[in-house]
Amino acid sequence: MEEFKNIDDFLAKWASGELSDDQKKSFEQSEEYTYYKAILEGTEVLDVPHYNKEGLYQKVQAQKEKEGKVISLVPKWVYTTAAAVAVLFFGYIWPTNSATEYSTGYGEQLTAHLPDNSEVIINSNSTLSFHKKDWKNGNRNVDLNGEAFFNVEKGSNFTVETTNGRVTVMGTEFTVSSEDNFFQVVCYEGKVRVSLKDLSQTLLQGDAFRIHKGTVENWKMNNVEPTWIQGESNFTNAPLSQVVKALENQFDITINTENVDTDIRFTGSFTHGDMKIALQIVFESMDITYTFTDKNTVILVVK
Amino acid sequence: MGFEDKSVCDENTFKQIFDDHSEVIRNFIYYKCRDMQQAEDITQDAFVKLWKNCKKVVFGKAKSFVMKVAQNAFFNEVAHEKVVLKYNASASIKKAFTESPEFLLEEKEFMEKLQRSISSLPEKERTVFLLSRKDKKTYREIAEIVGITQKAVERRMHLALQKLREDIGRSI
Repeated sequence: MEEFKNIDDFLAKWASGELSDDQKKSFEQSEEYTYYKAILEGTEVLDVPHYNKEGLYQKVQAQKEKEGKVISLVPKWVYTTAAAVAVLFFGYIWPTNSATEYSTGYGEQLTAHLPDNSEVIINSNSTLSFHKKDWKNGNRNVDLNGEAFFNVEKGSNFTVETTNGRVTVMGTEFTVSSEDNFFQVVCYEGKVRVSLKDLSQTLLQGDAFRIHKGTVENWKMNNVEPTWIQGESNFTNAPLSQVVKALENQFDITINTENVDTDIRFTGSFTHGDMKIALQIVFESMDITYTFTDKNTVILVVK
Repeated sequence: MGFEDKSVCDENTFKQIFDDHSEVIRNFIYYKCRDMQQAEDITQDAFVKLWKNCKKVVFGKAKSFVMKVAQNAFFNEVAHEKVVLKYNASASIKKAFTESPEFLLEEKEFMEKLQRSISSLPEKERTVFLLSRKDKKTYREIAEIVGITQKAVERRMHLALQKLREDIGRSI
């Protein structure tokens, strides 16, 4: 089977299934064929790194905003009929009351700016949104689902709303983590007020607050900013459920905890660089065996 | 609203262009520059540039505009590192080899050789080979992406396969 070497696109035609039946048959009988087949089949199981399309789109959106154009999300018919007028009166600043939203995917972090120029660093798998127009009217609210670190401009005053509770800010640095069954606020600088349905508490620099299954816990922190910004998630006496959630958000895995007590506490940290090491560090120290049932699923069993 | 008069400045249209083409651009640059961070940065910049020029670029030309911007950005980059596709250890490779002759290398060894061989292909051939096999693009589509004729794509594909074959053959 030497003839195909003289045709400069023979293998290309073969790979795309464009050979004639005769050509195909004769090629398939050659010894060479097994090698080429193995090359294509081997290539099938090679992985191109996972593509987080939404994550990249968010980055594009964030950069678009930075470039100074305001993005309009008003319905198309309004846009097309009103645009000419709007340009006349407003330049290309087009006021809108649609929400500005920032989301991160698994293992991602994103820095965003609030309308008052306060900086927010959003941790993995979290969503933060606000209405610019409301801010102009004095309603300075931010909605958060997940975890974020707020570095607030001096003199600025705003509120972080979560499904678990509300955090009011008075010029400060702090993190809020709010998941389905979990709420934690750490104040790194200045002063914040945490309000829940029937409870209100002021946190000063170094104060940390957590509510887990209806019980409030307070402790002290010495860091100047959360360690996850530097690629390490750190926990102080945290319930296992919280640590598991953080691992899931960071590494895009599902952790099955039905065989373990998720209320047991963990103090320590894991780095974001290597999933295997992170799992080892967390679970070995707690005498829990972790087993991969498939690429993205881990099951926990007590040793 | 007709196909031609869709404005790239429209947020939904822009998102649609991004959804349709960003992945292949990112992979294309990745296969070339062998650095995912760089590939995603270049893709991101290309789309921001499209946005900035959204009034000047008509919808039908948006894709080739982004491709060109990304390619130019790539040419301007200097740092090139090895691209090595990780192979998916959990995927069943066994299936792929059941019909292969016994004298073929052990699966794992073979996969490592294949990874190395793909990695050491000349950039032009590697790009065509991976766009075809991993992104499932037709030769016509690849021709459009790379900016060469379809015939040239097929030649590169042929050469890529031949080189992989030689490379792997030598080590048996």
